[in-house]
Amino acid sequence: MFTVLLEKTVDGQRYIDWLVSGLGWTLALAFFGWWIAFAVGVVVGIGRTVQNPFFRALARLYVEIFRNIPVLVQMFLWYFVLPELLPTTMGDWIKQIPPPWGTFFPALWCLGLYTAARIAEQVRAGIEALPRGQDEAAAALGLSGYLTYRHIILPQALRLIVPSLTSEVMGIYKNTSVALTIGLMELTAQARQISDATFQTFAAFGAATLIYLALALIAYQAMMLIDKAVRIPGTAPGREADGSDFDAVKLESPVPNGMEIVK
Amino acid sequence: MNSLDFSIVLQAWPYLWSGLLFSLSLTAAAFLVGMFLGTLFALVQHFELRVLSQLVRSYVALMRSIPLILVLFWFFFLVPIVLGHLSGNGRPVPVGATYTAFITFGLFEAAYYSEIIRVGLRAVNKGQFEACQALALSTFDTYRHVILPQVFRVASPIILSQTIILFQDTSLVYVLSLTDLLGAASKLAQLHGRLVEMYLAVAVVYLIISCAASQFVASLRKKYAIAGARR
Amino acid sequence: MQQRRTVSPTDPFPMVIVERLVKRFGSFNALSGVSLKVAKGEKIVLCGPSGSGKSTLIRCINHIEKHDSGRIVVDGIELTDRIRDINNIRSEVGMVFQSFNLFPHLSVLENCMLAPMKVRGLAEPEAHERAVALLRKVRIHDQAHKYPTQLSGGQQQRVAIARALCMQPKIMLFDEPTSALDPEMVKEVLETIVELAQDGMTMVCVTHEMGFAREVADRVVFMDLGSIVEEGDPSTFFRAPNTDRAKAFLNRIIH
Repeated sequence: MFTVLLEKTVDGQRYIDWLVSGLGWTLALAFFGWWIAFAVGVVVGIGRTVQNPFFRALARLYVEIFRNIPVLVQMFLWYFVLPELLPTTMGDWIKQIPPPWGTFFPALWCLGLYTAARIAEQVRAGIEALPRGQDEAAAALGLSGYLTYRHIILPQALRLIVPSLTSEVMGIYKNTSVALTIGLMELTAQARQISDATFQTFAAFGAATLIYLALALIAYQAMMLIDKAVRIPGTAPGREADGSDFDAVKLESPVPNGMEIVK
Repeated sequence: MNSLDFSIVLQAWPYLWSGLLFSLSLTAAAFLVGMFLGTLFALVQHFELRVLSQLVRSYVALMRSIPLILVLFWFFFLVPIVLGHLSGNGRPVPVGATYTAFITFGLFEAAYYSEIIRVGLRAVNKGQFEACQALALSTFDTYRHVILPQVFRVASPIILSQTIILFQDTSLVYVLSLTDLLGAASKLAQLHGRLVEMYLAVAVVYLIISCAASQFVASLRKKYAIAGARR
Repeated sequence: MQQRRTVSPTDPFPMVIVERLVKRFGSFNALSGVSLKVAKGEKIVLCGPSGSGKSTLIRCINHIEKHDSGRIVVDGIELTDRIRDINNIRSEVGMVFQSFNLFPHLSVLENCMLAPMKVRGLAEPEAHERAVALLRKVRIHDQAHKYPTQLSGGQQQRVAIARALCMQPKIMLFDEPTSALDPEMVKEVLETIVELAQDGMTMVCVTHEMGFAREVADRVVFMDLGSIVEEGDPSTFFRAPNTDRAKAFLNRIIH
């Protein structure tokens, strides 16, 4: 079924090389986008919980905007709209970035900042789930606000939300496919291109599907390892971390049981 | 930076409006089909029906592991073939992108809703089942009148959040060249060379609808939080 | 004092017959060959330390737990694996749980009307009438339109009793009905059960409320480690238990 992938393309490669190249872009987008998302998400998530009403409002605004506009529309805003809104020289400079970088960077910022809004909400939930006593104990020891977040709150909150971050990892790697709409030849785009060139739709989409499945498994396993590695001795696994048996954090959290079957 | 002219958006409004109606009806249809199938899928897994629950689990895991765009491509390709086989003569039936979108979103969302409901079913207190047994309620009545209503109620904020994401995801039918809100805006934007105004306008419409819906969900959550505290 | 009713060995139609009942959870023997007969109108109090099998025993009687071997006959119906028998028995047996298990999404009234309508096939007006009457009996009819979470624990348990009575059961099983209650609410629930006993209801009650046992029980059955160790009328049992295990148990619960 997949033998078509080994055939020569018009440009002298094999079709499988197209897939590998697409996979490369998908991974690069997901990986670098994730770190943008994580860094921004943690900052915004903290902003949602600080005392200062100005920073809180700002963080809230960020989350509402980036979470409530479809990622595809955001993709168009970064790619088509942003260069037009910037001063002409800067806009022109952006438009002249050669492909594929001209589509990669807008896609990267788009996915990173979109996912950051979702991560910010998880971070906030994690911080709010901590007992009030932690804050008070830190204050009693004379720790400043910064030191309290840095050494007391964040280390606990982040551990707590590892399982729900798994679904954000899955989310960003799946959303990389949206970049095909602005012309980035990532994995799904390459699969379609192979399908169009060879009419072997089953093989092309099937191969892409298997690769996505494998990636999902790897991401899931990696997050499980991280969850285990950072767990505080004597505490339950992250997903059992808070008492209630039915809450958003857990529901939106990772791959279903089903995943274990595929494994 | 060219001067912006948003009057184009006003002129285009009737077309955008019909696009928005398409987005909303796709959301509503996918919600109904997705919830119906999702509940069935969740029950199949809850009852641990042998072969069937394995199938459902694999289906759910698959749908949750691959991008929606790829799923759309798959269905766009597969639905005509499958319908051809179902109709008996084996020739692919051209169904068009619109039907494909409805079928795909319904089946795709079913996977997500079924996970929510499955977790909800697991969270129902064992005592509820025992009370139903003690009252001799049949399995059907137990689920119909006692268990599922509780699951839907407790899970409703999460179900609604998922539906807001679904509404945003319907914009992906762009890859099938359909005229949803984004599709309509995109076609006019190309036609008049007014990408900036059209895409900004569309972003604002999505933002307003999703924000309003999220606010509603947040108020629901709060209501349940208070009800829970009284316990 | 009311007349005590117990099973005579020759009673041909006891309400409940349990014979050599065995129930295992994995390798743990929850019940190892328990036999018990309950006469019509008889009130039995089951007591014993936790893990003695008393809750398991009454949960087996209406098949909420499935027994591994032995016989259970309720009102002439033998409990088999057939769903028909199970449901026939369950609709004759009312059960009240330690944790109430009211349906939180239904009002008090709806809690009481659901099973009579769905299982007994009652029309809505009749079910409503019956529910109101029984809620009045447990003195909670003024709360009929509230939801369970809006009631106190004692009120919830009285609703649970009314809900079970709405099926017009021939026997009532109580599984530690007051253990989950705050002390000040225990009394109102016990009074409700005492009234029910005075009406002549057959009942088996798992409880540690010894005052209650003295007042209503025709027979106290003491269980330990999955077996019935000793049984007798309450005054004798509490004054002079025969076995060391019962003595030790009574010492512990009377402090």
